[in-house]
Amino acid sequence: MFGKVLAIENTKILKQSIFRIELLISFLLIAGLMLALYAISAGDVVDGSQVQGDSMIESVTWPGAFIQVLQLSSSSGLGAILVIVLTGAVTAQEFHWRTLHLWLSRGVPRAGYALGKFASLLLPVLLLVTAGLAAGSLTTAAASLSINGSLRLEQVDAAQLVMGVFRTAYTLLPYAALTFLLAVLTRSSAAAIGIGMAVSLVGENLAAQLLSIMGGVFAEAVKFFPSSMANEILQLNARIAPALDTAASAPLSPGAIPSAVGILLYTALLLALATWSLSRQDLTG
Amino acid sequence: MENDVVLQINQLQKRFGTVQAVQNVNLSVRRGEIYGFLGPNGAGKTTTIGMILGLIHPTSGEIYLFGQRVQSDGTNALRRTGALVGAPALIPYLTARENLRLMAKLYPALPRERIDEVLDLVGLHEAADRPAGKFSTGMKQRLGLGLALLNQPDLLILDEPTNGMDPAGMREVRLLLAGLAEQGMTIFLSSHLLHEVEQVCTHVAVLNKGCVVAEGPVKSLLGPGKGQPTVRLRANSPTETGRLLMHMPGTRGVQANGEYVTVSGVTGKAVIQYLVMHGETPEEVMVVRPDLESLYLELTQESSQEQG
Repeated sequence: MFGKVLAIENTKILKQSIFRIELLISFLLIAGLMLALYAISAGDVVDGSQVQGDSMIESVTWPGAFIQVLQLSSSSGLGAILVIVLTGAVTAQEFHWRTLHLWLSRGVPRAGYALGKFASLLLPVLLLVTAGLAAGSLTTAAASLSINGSLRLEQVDAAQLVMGVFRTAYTLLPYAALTFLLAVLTRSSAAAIGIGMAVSLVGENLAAQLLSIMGGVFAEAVKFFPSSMANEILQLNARIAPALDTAASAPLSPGAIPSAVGILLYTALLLALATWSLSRQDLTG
Repeated sequence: MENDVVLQINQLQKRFGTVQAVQNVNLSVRRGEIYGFLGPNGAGKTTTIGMILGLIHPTSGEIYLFGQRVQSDGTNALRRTGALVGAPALIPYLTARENLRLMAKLYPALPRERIDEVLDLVGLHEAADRPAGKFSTGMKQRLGLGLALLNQPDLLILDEPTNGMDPAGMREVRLLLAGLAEQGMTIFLSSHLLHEVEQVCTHVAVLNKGCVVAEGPVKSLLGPGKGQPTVRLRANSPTETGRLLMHMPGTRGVQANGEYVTVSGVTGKAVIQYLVMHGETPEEVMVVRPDLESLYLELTQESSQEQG
């Protein structure tokens, strides 16, 4: 039954206009941002701030640009916003259109529905990251040719680039799961998206800053926030361009593998809460 | 449980906070029956149907579909049902055909031609490739009916299936239901259109304030000695005639409407004798046989008075 629900929900989401619009937004915004970065880096070189200019040039030319683009598509960039909007809209509308009632009244178990619905978001999330990467790659290819005279393809680890897309999409899962839970609880797109944005864009940062100020055990707890663990995982994207000097910033989180497990636990917990909430609801109206 | 019982409800109750929406409902639907489920707004019909379909958790009681207990976390027997409850659940950006195709994914054994068959059955073949969101209310209702019929269900559950349809569409649905029943499909139909229900249904249950106040075959409920006949007469001065009839022994209700007076609880012969005895001669007298509407009104009013 899970497979049938997944097939149904995948068909629905891929044909939905909000997903197509988000793909376009991801493509255009990342292309625009990379062009803006290129313009800034060119300005820095002209101004003579060579060190800053070198680092900027690295981030707008291949292979460093791939790392930059994936960072922009991650949970700390545009990715979280796109995923929260998509998840909130496509989940809450099931209650509004009563299509949820349609499947459940045909004997689909509620848990199977919830898991299938959430799993159907994985492909769109991956496609959103890929669209961003495609847009960034195209714009920075031009910058690379203009600045370096070549694409420096020999410096790109293609397998790591593919892994990078998966890693970046993976860091978005807790935010998708949180919004999914909110949409099930409130049955409202606006509430799910609004609260999801507030928690992930403001609440998490604010809490991290407060706990850091408090110090001690509280400051340690920040390491286990989804954003901290996502950053830890995203640092692995440096492997896309091993030749570059991409010294990691001071580690905050508990390491890549524990972070990956932590992200999985956050996602599983939020998804379990959403499934539990759905299983208790009376679907009237 | 007997094999030909398709739907069995035992002591079903549902409470929303302090509101008792459904109380001690018992009913049984057998294979091949067209079962009318009647009641005023707020009587608990849609809540009961929601519990049958596993959408609403009963507070207590049991529901069996094809002998299998209905659970809100998925019941295999629900795969043998089709349902249209309230406004049809459609995906507005998909065409009628795509909506049906999507539903068909739940039933891999369905032949591909079934989608075209259903589109023909509900009269949507020409609009099959238009987005469902652009359909009129009646067309949406037809597509909802198509989705309910797609899997060739053994039990079809319909809640106000002709909502938003024009008279021709309503007649088509009535004929369609009769045809499906002839093919052996069991139909559980909730509707406000009592004339329609009377024409189509073999059995009915009347629900009022969450309780079943009558249940049984239509013929038996409307048979001799069941329901109250009414006498309708035309008089020169209906108001005065009405006042006079109020004092007639056995009269349960008198209502003047234009030049007509309707009396319940007494026979036509007794009314004529009483009026002649009091110097009044009616212009015209007719006995209106009890129909589902009069029975329904009588039952729901009686039970409201008792509970009030």
